[in-house]
Amino acid sequence: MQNSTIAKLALTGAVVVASIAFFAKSASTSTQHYKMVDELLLTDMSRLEDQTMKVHGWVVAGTIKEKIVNQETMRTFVLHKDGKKIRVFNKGPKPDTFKDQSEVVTTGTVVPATKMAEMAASLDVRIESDMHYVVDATELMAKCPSKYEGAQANKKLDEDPKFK
Amino acid sequence: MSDSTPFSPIALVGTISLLCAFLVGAWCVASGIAGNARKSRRLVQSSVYGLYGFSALVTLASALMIYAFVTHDFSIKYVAHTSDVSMPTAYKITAFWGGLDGSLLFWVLVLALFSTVAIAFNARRHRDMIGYVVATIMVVQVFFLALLIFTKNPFATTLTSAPIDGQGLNPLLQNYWMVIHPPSLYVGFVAATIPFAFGIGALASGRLDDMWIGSVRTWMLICFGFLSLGLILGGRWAYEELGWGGYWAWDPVENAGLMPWFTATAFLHSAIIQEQRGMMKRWNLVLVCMTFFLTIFGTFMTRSGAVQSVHAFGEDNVLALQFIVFMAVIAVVSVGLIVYRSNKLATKSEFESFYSREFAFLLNNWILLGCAFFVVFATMFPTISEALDGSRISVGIPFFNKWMVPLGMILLFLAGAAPLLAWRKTTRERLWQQFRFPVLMAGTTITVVRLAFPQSVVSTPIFSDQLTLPISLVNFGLVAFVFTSISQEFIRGALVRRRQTGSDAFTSLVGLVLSKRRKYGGYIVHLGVAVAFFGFGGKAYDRMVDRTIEKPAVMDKSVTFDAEGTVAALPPNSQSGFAFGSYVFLYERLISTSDDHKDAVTAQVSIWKGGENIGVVYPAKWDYHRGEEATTEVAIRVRATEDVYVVLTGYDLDSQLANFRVFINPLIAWVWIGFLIIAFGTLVCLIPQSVADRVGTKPKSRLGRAADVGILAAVLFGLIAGLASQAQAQGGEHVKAGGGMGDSGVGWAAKNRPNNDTAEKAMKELLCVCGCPRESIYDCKCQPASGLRGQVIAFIDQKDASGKPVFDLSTAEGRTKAYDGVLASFVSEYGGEHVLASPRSKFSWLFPSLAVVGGLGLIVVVGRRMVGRGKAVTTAALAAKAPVEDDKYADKLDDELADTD
Repeated sequence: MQNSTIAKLALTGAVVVASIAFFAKSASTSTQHYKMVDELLLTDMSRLEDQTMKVHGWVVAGTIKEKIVNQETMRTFVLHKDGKKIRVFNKGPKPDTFKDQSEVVTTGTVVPATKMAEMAASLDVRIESDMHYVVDATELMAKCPSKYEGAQANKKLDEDPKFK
Repeated sequence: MSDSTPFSPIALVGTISLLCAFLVGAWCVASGIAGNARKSRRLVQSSVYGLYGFSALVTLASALMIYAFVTHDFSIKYVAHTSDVSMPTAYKITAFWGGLDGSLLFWVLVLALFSTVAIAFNARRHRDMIGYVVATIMVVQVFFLALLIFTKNPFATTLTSAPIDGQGLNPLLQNYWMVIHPPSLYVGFVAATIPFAFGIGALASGRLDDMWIGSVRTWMLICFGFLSLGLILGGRWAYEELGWGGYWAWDPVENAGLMPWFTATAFLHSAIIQEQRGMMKRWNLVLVCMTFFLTIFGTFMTRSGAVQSVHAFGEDNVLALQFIVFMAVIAVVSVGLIVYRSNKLATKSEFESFYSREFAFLLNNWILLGCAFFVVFATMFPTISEALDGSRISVGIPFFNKWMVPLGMILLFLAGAAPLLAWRKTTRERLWQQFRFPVLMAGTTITVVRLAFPQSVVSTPIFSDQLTLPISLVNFGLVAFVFTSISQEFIRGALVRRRQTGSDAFTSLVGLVLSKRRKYGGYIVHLGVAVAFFGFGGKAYDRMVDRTIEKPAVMDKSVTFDAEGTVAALPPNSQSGFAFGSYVFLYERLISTSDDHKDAVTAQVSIWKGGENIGVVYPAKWDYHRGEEATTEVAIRVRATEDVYVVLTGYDLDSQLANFRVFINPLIAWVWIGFLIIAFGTLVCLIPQSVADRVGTKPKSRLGRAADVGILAAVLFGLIAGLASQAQAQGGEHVKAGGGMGDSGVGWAAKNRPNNDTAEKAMKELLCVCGCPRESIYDCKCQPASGLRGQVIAFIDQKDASGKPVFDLSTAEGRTKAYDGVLASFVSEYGGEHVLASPRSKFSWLFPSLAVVGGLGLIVVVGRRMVGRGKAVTTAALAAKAPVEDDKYADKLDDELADTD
């Protein structure tokens, strides 16, 4: 093999390796975790503080509180899974299927409960004393059992013991 | 076959057609390979005719499938799963590819039709490799047919009796964009098979001159064109139908179409280098194989459930495994043949300078390939992370944008720079001459935009969160650069032609484009790309707000309405309005309408700017009778500068409260316009030589010449106008209250639909008396149900002597009173609680309980008898009477019964 060919191959290899390394580093800071409520509460939440993530659970019946302030709907509710609970705060629209006991995936950040004290007060809600962290959600997705094929993936997901 | 199993002649003939096609396909593979390997002309001919026969059989099967949809043959499970009687015919045909089984059959059909055309045109020209080409196409066909026949037979019938009605198509797919978006993507995907087959044919036969490139370029162009169309139609569908204000979310299904688009685009550029300089032969084969591989990989991603997506077809591990094996075969055969023919693929020419067109093309290829790999990796990231450490980690839209935006900027620069460079080497003088105006225009644009719109400086992170640049501003500069560069090429070319032919400027321009259709068609595509990027740039400035309005203006007595039912003058400080951007939005009223298929709740919202009413929009929610989730029907006010996009995100019919989400999307209309220009450019590239010759031949009279040019312009304009009119159709859909509703509501199902939540709740609780299988009056389509619905509405809306409503629906107490009252009135009128879906009598628990106890007793008695009989049967007879087939039958039956739940 000629020297020039070796040099070209080495240069290409170096560029590819450098790109992949940079890409992997970039990805590591941009990833979004997906956790069930019980899984989330078992982790050290101080390490997840202010990280955007998806939290998956079921709405505890009777915990949805909504209030319209300055034409903006504010709400709070508690999500649970296997006895573990976390409070969620959210502003804006909700899906039609969002209601008591519905299965919900929220996208938001885990924040110290004290950070949401003002919003809790305006909703006339007291954050539970054992909840040091809550979810400040920007988006709510409520799952709906559907007969359509698109829902088959969800069906399978529910059968997965990990998501029970 | 059991006596109770429904018999469908359509299913029988359809399945036989597929089985015959499978056998014919297998023969084509064998005869094609053997024919070319043994140089047997008869065998090759046999494979070619076999392919035509295969296409006829698949066309017959597809026609039968469409016939089954149109004639409601619900004994075919696929038809029952994806359609229902009430669906419009257009959507019944759409349902053909609306589910997994049908989409696989549609794939086979399109490939069969394409391969027939491709082989008919090339069989003679490529006689020494056409057998391999047919065999390659047929391997793909046999793979998909095997999936169809053995695991996903769309003609499979129900084992129990056929349902009276089907389950219907997902409401989200009942949208006109969905009628053309999936076929466009499929056609794009399938078109990639033809170049792949010719590439494999060339490799297998060793005929690696430039001839095969010429045959496949058109097909790759078709692949590029349809993928572009499919992607943009998908974007437009998402923009209109999903109500999140955007058109691209890097969803795995979107990405599945984008990955082969990148490599197809790369091939279209590198093929030019092979033709012009005889370079990059191996690279072109790699791109052809990779494009095909990515179409299969994309299909695998979306149909196997390997990645989660809002509109993937579901999870199927068996299907995933079959696709993985097929992809492994493609990879091994492609790489093996390329390595085997490596010596023949070597090229003597080398790059002479970085300032050459071929180097710009090479750079463009590397970036496009980098984009494809990035999208593959990022799309598969959750799956990879789950496989590695068990935790599901996803990457969101910002991550994709962080990488794809700067890569897109480089591609945009190259779209303007490459046409300015010369082949082999560009001298300094030529560089200056070619680049000075485009660079000057880019600089001027950035400066003017920066000064005129200070808010245009928005920093965007690229590659890393720490590195931010005003990318949108740079984008506008690059758009100006590409525009100037391409315009300069057109002007210079037309001037030269004008000097040569002595014709007028317009004729020179048309003649220039027609004489070098690929070159100038490609430049038009580049212009389209620049226009689309102009639209993309607006994304940096979009805004969104959520508002909850408790009362519409119609409930405010101080607000006056004109004769058309809209607010005459904007009331000051109205609680029904809100300001956003330079607009004020006034929520005027909530309207409830119905048709045969759905109930709609529509908000009437007027938009005001500077005190002037600039339009009324009607965002809505549609609740399909057969659906379980309402669909969002957005209202879009389209302008060249910005779209105002209004979404009704929630409502309460009783209190008239409504939630709105409003987006201001600057420049978004240019994204669609850009893609129309790309489509036009692609069509120019595809103009056949015969058409160009006809127009290019100098007619005897000016009139004749004008007529020729006019016909060509009319055809192209017609195609573009057709697309554009579709794009504009949206504007009209929601411009009236309940837009899209009512006109088709001629059946009883559309009459007396609920006008508030209490009425809806009551209608769902009350059962119809028409003899239907205990359907609620809300669901039942009969005339009596319509009358009963009217009765419910009249009861709830009744007024007392003073004209005041008897039930105050704004309070929970009033709603409960109305609900209980209407149920009680029905029970008394129809003589019993049989009219209720869930009887309320305190003894109502007794009957089901007795039924359960009685049923259990019956099971015990019958079971004991059966066990007793079973003891008399010998073990040998038992073994003989319990074949494996019965287990399968029972499993299948269980599945079907579960489906009916």
